[in-house]
Amino acid sequence: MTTAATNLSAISRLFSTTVFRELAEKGRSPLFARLLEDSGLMDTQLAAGTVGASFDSAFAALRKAGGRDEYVYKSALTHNILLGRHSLCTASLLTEFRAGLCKADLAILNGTSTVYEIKSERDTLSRLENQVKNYRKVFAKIYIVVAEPFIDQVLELTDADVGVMCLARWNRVNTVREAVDRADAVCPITVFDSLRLAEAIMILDRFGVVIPDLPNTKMREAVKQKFALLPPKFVHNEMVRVLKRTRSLAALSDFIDQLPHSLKTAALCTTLRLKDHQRLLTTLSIPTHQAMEWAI
Amino acid sequence: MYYPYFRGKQFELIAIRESAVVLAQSNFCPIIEPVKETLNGLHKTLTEVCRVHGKAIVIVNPVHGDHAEDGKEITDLLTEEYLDKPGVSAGILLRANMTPADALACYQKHLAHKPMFIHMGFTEARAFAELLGDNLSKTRHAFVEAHCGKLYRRHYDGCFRVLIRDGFRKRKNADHPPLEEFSDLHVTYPDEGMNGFGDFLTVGDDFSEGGGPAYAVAIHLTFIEPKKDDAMYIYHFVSTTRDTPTDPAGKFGQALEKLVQKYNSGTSNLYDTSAVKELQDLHDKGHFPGLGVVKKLSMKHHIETIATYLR
Repeated sequence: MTTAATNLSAISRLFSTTVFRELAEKGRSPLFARLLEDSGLMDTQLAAGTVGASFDSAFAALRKAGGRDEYVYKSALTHNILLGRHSLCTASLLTEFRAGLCKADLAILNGTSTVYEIKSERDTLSRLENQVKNYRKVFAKIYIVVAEPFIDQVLELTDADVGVMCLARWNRVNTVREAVDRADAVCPITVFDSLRLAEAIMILDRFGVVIPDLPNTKMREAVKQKFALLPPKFVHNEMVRVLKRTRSLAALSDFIDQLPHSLKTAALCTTLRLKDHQRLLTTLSIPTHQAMEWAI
Repeated sequence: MYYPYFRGKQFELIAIRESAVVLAQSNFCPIIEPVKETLNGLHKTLTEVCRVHGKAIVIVNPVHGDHAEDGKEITDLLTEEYLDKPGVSAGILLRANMTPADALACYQKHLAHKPMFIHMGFTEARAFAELLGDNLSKTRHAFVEAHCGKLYRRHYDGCFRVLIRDGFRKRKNADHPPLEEFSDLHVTYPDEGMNGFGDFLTVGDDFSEGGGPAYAVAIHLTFIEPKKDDAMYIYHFVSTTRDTPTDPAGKFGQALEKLVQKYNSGTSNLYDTSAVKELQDLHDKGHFPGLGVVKKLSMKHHIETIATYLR
């Protein structure tokens, strides 16, 4: 790899779940120190600042066109749509949510469900067709969020009811084609497979279905049989209602407010124990030159 | 005698606690590598081991988990609570990156706890044996077979020696065959010139933290095969559904169904252990107690099987 490529790869990995978790759970991260060293960003100013500030500097380097990775896209989406247009109290964010045979990068639930599939300049479009097919079974609206060079290709590859967005500048998401709401087209069985049993039962309950009294090894299969008979649109709308409650991130509001801008998305996408929140904030306030000693 | 090696996660520790009486009566000695930050579970387990006059070896320099960088808290626990309890001794892992001097320093530090060395990747067998000098014959050694060949072990002739062989083959649950060989060390360890034998139970040497959702659920049960000179074999009862990572309870039900059918056929050679009774009970109720408990039952069955065989 060239120096530039090594640098970029290190910067990208700074925002990995591993680093984030180590900082929160252990209060130190040797990997962080090594990656910052490899990032080529180290200078006296960075060393004098805090660990938190060094993440913001790294992000500023990462968001420049050409090197943007999935995290930059996720970040733009969460800041623009979840934290900008909605709020943590009225909308929910799902990451790595199962949809059939795929996992959705990012989905937002407010009045409806919208899934965002990110195709950054580092990705290929080879899996796109299959992903869209699976997302249709769970979500009402689908958006493919792409780098500018991909726009025409994606418009052509996907049906007219699939939306397309483009990351114009690092922080601005433009809609190229609006997605059509197809809540009526979801597949109840696929939705069921994505839910926890208790969530599925809440939905059945709303429809007035009596839940059988069975031991737990028989329960899920029995509930699935009943779930399969529900109307798709009802299933979708109730899924949104239930998940907004069971997967709410409202409790994270205060914590997110205290994090540096560049790490808010990481915090929304990673589940931490409550007791690790304060440890993360403390760790982020450590001077960077001191944190560099973790590497040894 | 038997030295089962445990990575001390929650259900491993519970398995030891619930098997404490069997272990003590059979003169078995679990080796415990603490991997979790909090040592409460370990303390509880060791208390139970001591209460029934059993034995245990606690690794003071773990290679895996939360104490991998620093085992000081474990050393402190042993010093504060177990100096006067002869059943609990220290275990010193000898790993690839250690020098004979490191090993000796660790030995001297834990001398009061009658340490046992567990050779797991260490390369300086001869130099370390020479360094121990006159003390050599008084030391105890366990060799993890994958790391220590016969030539390596020969440097410790005359010492108390245990051979640990990982009989469990790690694969994705869905890929396990229904039945395979596990180990014959419980029969052959004297032929290897050993005073005891060990294994990583039905968990294996591979350490993983948590792990993702399971596409298939498996119940692993060991048994002695009289037709094969009492070699130990293992059944892997695996669920039929394995396409999605959902419904572990339903999958457990499927695996359990296979197990109970085999057991009821009368041809399984499975010993009638407390774990098998509990599994039958779960089958009758149709209840899934969680994957941790399933793993615990598999380990308890393994311990009781070896205990029954050697009785």
